[in-house]
Amino acid sequence: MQRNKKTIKFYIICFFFIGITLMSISSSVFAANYEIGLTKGTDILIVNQYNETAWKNTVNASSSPNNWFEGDADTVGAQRKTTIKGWNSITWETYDIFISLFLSALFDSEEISTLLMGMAIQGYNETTINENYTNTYNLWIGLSAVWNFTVGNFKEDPSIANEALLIFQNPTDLDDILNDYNNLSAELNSNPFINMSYIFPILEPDEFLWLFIFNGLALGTPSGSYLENLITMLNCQNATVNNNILIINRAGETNYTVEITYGSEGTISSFVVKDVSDNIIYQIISRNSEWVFFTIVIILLICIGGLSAYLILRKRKINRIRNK
Amino acid sequence: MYRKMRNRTESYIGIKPIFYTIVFEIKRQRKKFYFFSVVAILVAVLVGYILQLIPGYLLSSTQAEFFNIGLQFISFLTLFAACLFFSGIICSEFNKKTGFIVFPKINKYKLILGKYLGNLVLVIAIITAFYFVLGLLGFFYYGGPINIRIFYSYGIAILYIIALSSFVTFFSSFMKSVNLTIISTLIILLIGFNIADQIVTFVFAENFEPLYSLAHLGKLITGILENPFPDPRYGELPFGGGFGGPHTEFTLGQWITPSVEMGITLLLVFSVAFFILAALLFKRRQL
Repeated sequence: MQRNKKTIKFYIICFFFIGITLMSISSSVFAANYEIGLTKGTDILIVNQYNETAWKNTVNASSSPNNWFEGDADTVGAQRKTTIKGWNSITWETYDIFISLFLSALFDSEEISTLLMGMAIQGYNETTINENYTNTYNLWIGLSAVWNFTVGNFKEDPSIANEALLIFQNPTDLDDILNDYNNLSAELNSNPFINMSYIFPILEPDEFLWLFIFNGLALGTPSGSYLENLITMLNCQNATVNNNILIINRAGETNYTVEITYGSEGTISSFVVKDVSDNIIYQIISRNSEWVFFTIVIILLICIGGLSAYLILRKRKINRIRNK
Repeated sequence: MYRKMRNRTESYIGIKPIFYTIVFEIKRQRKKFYFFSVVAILVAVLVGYILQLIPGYLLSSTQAEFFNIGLQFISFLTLFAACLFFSGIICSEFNKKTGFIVFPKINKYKLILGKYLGNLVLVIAIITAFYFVLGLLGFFYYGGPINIRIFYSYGIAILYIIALSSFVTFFSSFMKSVNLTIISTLIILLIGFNIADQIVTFVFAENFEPLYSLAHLGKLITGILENPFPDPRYGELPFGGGFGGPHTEFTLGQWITPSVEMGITLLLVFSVAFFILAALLFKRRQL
């Protein structure tokens, strides 16, 4: 009788735990289709190839890679370091998106403060914007320290101590974001007080994607499916996806393509600019030193194991001699 | 030639007992050593790795900041290690009456020196393990090269251990029992110096730096990691509001770190001074 009671108790506890585990797994599956792939640590991007003449003839005669990446991005061998510091999940409203994604990408900090002041005077503040544009977005915000491209050694302090990486939990949100932004921009552009000093550009999906790539876009995992969804929902005309590579067709002096590979963390791991004949004009590759760390750890473990084995064998030998 | 060889043999025979005592002391204290090593490694892993598993707990921007945060616990670790390892060096000899032997088999000074060096090796090994794990994790998160200032910090930490050990050895030279030495040194180093520092800072503010305090000198271990080195080294934190309303603002002064030159010099001076005092008291106690 006592034993039966114990068995029943055991089964109830087992079912309880299995139930809780299944519920937590199913809830996490249904809550978000994508996971966050960021891991804390440092990655280094290196300019591997740059053909200046080809760039001038193909991309833009008056620009260089410095227009896309800050620092010495136009020098082969230059390195850029990014240390991912952490992340948090957060819900943003339209005003947050407007400020953090669009304004920060389109204007500098001085212009932003003037603009916000002017908008507030005209009745476009956080409350009114969020009342008119009621969408909310769930995203993960990653924070990273960034050292811009440099030829020599990295300085001790980062160029940007807190750069945001934005990962929308649902990539289809980006379509709503773009629509809301364009509608709000049209509204603001029609206001004579605001358009006197600043004009908000109305963005096409491809332009928005291009802008977002250089202003904090990071992907959820699996990144291939995330990219596919992103392109489809935004209805980008000049972008395609091949596994985790985003291929963007662009026009400069002539047509060219930009291939951006996203790594397992959902951040850029390579960036290649090619001309129509598939010749590489500019290439950035990534490198990280995790393997060195694991090599050190493995060597250390082997040493500890060897030392322990030696000590055990020595003790056994001594004991054997003593017993004789 | 013969004289040279004889001198060398004599000096070797002179050092031999010290070397044997060091080995013996290391073997004797090995359980304590294992315990502290495990604690040091666990603390380093906890601060440097386990906490970093929380996504919202932000990793420091630079390797030096990471080391700085990781090393916040080192003063506790060194303090407890110094008190527990060095407290019995002299007083245990008198506690167990071995200090009163008239014709000892080994010179008593050599014995004390051997015991001290044995324990010092163990404590330095513990701190080295702590720095090594932290350095490894720093490499894991930030890649190479390792910031040179971690090596400066390590050097100062060793100097700090020597100063602490000489302080504890000095107490051990006149205290009656090991436990009493541990308790009294822990109280002085953990609470006494800190209270005295706060009183001095409260009274004299930036006019008087508490350079007498080992607790203050210990701040150089983490202070040296800061870039740029703190200048001014004295800061005031304003406190406002509270029960008396917004007008009850007051400031709390704090010395951030001693200067590098002064810190190193004073740590050396403390080490030598307390050793000399300990040796004198030990000699007097034998009479």
